[in-house]
Amino acid sequence: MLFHKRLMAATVTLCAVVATVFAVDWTRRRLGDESTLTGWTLLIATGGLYLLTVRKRLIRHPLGPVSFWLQMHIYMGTFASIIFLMHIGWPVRGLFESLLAACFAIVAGSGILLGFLSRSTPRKLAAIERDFPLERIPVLQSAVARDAHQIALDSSNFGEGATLAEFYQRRLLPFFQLPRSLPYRLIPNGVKRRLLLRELNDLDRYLAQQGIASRQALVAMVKAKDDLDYHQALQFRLRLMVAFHISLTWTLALMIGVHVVLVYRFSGAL
Amino acid sequence: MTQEAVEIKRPDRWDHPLDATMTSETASWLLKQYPFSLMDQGRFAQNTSLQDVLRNDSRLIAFSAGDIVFREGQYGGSAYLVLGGTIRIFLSRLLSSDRKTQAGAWKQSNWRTGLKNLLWPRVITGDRRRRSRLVQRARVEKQNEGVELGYRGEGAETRVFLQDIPGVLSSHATSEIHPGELFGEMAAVTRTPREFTAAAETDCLVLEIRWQGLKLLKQDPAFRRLLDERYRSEVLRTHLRETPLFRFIPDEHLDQVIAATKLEQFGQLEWYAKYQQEANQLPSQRIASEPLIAEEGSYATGLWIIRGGFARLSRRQGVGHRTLAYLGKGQMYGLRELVHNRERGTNATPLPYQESLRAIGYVDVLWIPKQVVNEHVLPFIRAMDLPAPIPSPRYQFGQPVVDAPLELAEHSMETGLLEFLVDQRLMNGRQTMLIDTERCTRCDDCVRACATMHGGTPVFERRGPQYGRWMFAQACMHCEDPVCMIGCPTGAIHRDHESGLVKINESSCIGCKSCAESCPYDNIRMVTTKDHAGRMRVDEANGLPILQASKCDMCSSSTGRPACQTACPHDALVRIDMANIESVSRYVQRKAG
Repeated sequence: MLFHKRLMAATVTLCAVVATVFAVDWTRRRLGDESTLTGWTLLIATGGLYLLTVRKRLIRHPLGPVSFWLQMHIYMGTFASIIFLMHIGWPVRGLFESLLAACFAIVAGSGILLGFLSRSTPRKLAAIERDFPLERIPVLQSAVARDAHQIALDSSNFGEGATLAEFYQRRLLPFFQLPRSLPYRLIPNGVKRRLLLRELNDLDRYLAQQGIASRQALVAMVKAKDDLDYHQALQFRLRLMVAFHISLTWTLALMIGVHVVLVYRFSGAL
Repeated sequence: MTQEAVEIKRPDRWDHPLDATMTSETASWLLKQYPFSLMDQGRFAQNTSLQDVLRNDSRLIAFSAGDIVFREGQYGGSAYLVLGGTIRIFLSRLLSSDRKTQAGAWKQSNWRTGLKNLLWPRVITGDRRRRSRLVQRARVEKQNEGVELGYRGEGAETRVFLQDIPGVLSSHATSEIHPGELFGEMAAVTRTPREFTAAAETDCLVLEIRWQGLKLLKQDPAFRRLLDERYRSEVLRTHLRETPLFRFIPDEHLDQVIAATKLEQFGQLEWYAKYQQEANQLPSQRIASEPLIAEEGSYATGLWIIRGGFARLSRRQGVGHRTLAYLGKGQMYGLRELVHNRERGTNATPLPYQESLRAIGYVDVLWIPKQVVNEHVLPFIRAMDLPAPIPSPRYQFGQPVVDAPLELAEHSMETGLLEFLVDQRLMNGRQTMLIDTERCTRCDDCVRACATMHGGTPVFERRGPQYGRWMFAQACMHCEDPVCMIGCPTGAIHRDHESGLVKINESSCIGCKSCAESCPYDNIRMVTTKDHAGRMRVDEANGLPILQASKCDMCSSSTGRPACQTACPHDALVRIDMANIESVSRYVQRKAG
């Protein structure tokens, strides 16, 4: 059912593209202004992309599920991107036009990336045993850090030397107390987790039974903290991309407005 | 910055009586009527005296001949005592639309009306909304061939009546209710839909008693006796007739069945307290502590029919139990064994029960002895409706247990998920918020949409118990058995008659926390209240904030699907009826690809 719906939407998009190509060709052969045709088509298609935002704002009204409007947004975005390529001349001339084209390309690119992330991120998040709402993660991180600190402090009382406490101070304290690096936030991975767990395991030869128990507790804490960081980074990255995409769309809207005025001003229509 | 507050008197239990016009004189008059005249007033507490109960939790209603008191399939939190006139209850279905009106009633909307409302917005007043509901209902009435309905009265007092009472009565099997008799109490007590339609045959005076009052009245043995007698004499027949298997049994045989049927209850009505205590136990310990209704391997003594609540159907597996299904209202246990034994004849060794049946929380069951089933039930069931004999029984008397792999139906739910649903009591939900975490981007659009619909404060949390990719979010599930309603002293938390949704009446909620504390799923929250000027309400006696219960209402104030579901851009969130195990199974399998 879903496949059929998607197939139909893709067919409609393809038909719209083919119709536009024929219309452009017909205009060109009649020595008409093809850029006006593609320009207005692009303007209408780009306007249609904003309907998703409008639908989200009108949540009280029964205008169909947002998921349907998102699908429309994706197909209309694909159509607009193809028309965009037909509309711009190559090479793009003029500073403003170059900026506008770059802005459109970045919005389209961020949209594609967002589509990919929207598909892949949930699976990665679901792979973690527990789900953490983004706004609660800092609280949970603090709690884990507090617990780890206590375990490290207690370990020095077991008469096994300061092995664990020293390791905690040197290697784990920054991990628990400091936010993760920007590269990690952009591309979260398990490198640090694996490294710390290996180093912790290596301490066993210096620990007695009680110390090993503390080490195991710290291992659990490292895993918990890393899970939280992982969730935070993935959710943060997705939200950042959404914010980036949306904020650029408004910049794009403004630039399109200026572009239309400029075009008609210099063509003598205004 | 301190928030401005307004001091008010803390709301009290009977600030909002069922009928504000009810006087002490009327209550005194009622005390002289049967069955209240037989009741021992000394059994009632001082602050909830019998007179106060009648004064605040009941109201007198004068029905004209033909008026429908309630319809089959509606939810209702009241019982009715006939004081004058005759009421008829319809043993056969009176209106073909009765059952259909339930869940779908609040969903009616489409894109066209949505767009029209958006472009030409109109203020929908309460009266207009009621009228549009009546129009909608009137359309349904047209489908009820042979039963002509009319409307009289206005606003909340609008009554539906039967146009041709003699004609309708002659074409339907009915039963008479006379003065002094009670009806409609089972639906009120068990929080289930009405099992029949009731209408006034003559002009009647009826006392409506809401569930909260009924609960107090049940303290009196005379009143309890009245309820039991009433059930056996009338309701049981309707209930059995409603069960498909009993549809073609002749009346004289059904009488025998009714006489032999035992009404049994397992578990506690307030099961949530025990459930919360046992939450941390091992699954095997939890199952072992569930009241056993019938055990696998024991002699198949009769047929069990679930009347209300849920029961776990399980088999021993290793040292634990494997859940095969949960049985809800109308479902049976033991039929396969009885049919098998009957077909094998009296000479063959009878098969014992092949599975165990345990009460999940609280279960109301009917038990019909084997001999009665063989003699008065099975001969009247079409062969096609009977289950097939058991080809390879697991338990046979005198033979070792065959520990074969458990056969599961093709579309059955994954056993782990099934166990999880039962352990967490999630099968109780009729509108459970199920989130597919492999699709959910955690964008919180659902939470924002919920906040938009509820004055800026969302009434659910996007977290909750999780099984694999499926999260059961902390949103009111509008349970099949809403235990949150049990303790509410004012009836503020109630079931909508038409849709069956569990709602909170803000004007009568006194903030006692009873519902929030009894919800086993922590889906009800206590929130501070504000007046129209946005000032926080505080108790004038001690300055503490006045709280009210808050929970998901399925956005019933607006048309269409709930906002959370509509707002999800990735189709990751769905509201689903967990009692319908097949649809859950289909949904889970479809999503799993």
